[in-house]
Amino acid sequence: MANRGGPAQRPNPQTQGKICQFKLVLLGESAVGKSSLVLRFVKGQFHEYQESTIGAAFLTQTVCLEDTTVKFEIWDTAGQERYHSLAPMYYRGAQAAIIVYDITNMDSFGRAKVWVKELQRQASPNIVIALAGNKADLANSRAVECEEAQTYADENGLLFMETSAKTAKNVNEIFLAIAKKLPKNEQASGAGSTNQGRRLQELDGSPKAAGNCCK
Amino acid sequence: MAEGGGMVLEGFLCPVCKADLGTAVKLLSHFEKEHNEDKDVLQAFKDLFGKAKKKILKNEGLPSGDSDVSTKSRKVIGYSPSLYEPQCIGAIRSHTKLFASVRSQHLEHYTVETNKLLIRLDKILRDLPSDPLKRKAHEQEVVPWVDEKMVRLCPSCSRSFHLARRKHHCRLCGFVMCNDCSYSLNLDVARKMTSPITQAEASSDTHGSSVPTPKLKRSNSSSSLNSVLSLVEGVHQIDTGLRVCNDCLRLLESREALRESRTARPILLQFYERLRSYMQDANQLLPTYILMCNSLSCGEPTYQLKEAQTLWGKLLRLAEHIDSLSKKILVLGSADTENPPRGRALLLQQQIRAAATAFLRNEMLGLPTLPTEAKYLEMQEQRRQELKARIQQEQMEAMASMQAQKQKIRERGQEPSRITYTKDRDNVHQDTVLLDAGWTPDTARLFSTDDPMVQQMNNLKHYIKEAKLAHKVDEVEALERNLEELQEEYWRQQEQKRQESDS
Repeated sequence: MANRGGPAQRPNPQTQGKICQFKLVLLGESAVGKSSLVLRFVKGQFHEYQESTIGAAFLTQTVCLEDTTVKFEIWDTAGQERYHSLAPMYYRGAQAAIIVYDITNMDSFGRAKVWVKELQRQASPNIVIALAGNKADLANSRAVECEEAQTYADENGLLFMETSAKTAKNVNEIFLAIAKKLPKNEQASGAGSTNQGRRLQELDGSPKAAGNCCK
Repeated sequence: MAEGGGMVLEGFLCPVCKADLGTAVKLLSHFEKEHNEDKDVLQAFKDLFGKAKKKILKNEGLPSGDSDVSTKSRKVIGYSPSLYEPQCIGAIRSHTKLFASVRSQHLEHYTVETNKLLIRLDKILRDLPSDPLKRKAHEQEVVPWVDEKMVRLCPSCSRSFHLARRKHHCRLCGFVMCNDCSYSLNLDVARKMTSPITQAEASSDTHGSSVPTPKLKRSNSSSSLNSVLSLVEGVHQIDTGLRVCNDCLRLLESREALRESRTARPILLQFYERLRSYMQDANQLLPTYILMCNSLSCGEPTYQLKEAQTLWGKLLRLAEHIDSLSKKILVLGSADTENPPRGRALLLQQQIRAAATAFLRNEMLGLPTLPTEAKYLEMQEQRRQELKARIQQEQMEAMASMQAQKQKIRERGQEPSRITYTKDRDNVHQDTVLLDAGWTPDTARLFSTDDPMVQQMNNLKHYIKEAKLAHKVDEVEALERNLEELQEEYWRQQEQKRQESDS
């Protein structure tokens, strides 16, 4: 099989209990750094002149927790208003969403709140939502206070972190936090969507097989 | 070679009566006396001898005029060495086939013998009892022993047997010899001999990779000799080993030597392979490092300084390894004062070192150094200023071009109804492009790119193509699922629109 790039380690089937696949969508106003965040997470790169996204980009990345391998199918949507009509296609059936705002731009935080509302109304009820205050490296021109965002996140049951795609601050952390919060078995995942937290493989070594004599 | 009726005659034969006369002179005089009537034949015969002699004498550099004298004088002596000199080139026959057949017979014989011994050895070693009596029975069961009463003298030293020189049997061929003529084959050595080649190779390989020095001893050409010597030394503790005769041991040893020479890798080769692997690693890391370094020294935040520093550390370590290893290769064996590397071996070592230093000089020394933290920050600041200036300039240009566009449009009497111009600096560029696209006469193109749904479908088709090329099956699946959803949604919308327009 072809190499799936990225800094995360390949799962070792001997030690890994299961592999879960999750659909994750990035939402937020344009130019808040959604694509940069994903690019930093998936490829470890950062481009100052990131072109604005057309439609939606698709990337995958795998992270290893203690006993599970979580594979993210990441849909990085375009922030521009004219692509708004596409967004439901992507948050529908998604198990996780990251709503990104720019800490130097109060309007983007307002837009983020609108996204949260839209998700709460229309997305899967069990969706894990994370709020990311991006461009934390530009803290000296901050417009959104950290406490304010934290309070908002707590009220709405969101994960919250201030991130920076440029310095890689909290980028891997926010994805890992999402991976930890996601339910890892079929029973726990909610009703409705067909491909929620699909468990791809049941490995032979699992303790289920009571008939085996050795071990 | 003359073959007549299966019998081969050789010597000074008379061509008429086929009698062997012993010497050339006798043959000539015999022919003159007995077969005088055959003048022509005699003449031809004489000519033949004369011609040959002349040719040979000419080759010796004697003047041709003297030839008669010398032939006469030689005739008188009765011995013509010229007949025994190498003949001039005539017919050529290849004896390779004959040689090969003889050789292969010989080889086959040895191989069969050796294999027989190995099979016996294997049988003996397999569940060999530790109890001496049982062990003896087991050995005799595999190889029947020659009746010792039949043997009076030791077949190899031909000394008689008595109380002090007792008879012993070879465990492999069953023959009798004295203690001095027998060797003890160490059981471990024997086991190694019978083990399959691959196993022996594997063990020697792991040996070599972990500790290279013992390999040096093993790969030495005298290794088999060493083991023989150690066997001879171990004669007094014969019961731990297997008593074998000289012949059997020689067969086994020569096979071992052959096997070793096939699998042995000189230490130089191992060092060299390691060196090459270091160089390869370095070659793989170099482009990334150069890319990172260039990007960082321009103040770009694409890569992180820490990552580049760790990469630099890795490269430095590799360079050190390459340097020390090539030095080791250069001085390899020079400590051996009796037999230091000479000639081509020495040249090889020197050239490996030269290649390694050239590699270090060309690839590693010229590497750009990373900027320090402070310098990097400074560069970043500088770059930020530059970028700001550039963005401003671009904005100005965009504004200017927009003004120009508006001007044009106004001149044409048209007013653009839809310009989504935002203050957002990243989108300045994008918007101007859209503006241009929006007002080009190519309306078909405008249509195809304007609907975000269609745009995204095109995107997805492109992604699917790429994912298929990269053989990422599950990604293709996810993308195709999404494309289907989009298509459905798109048709639904189209349908809706049509209904709206109908009503």
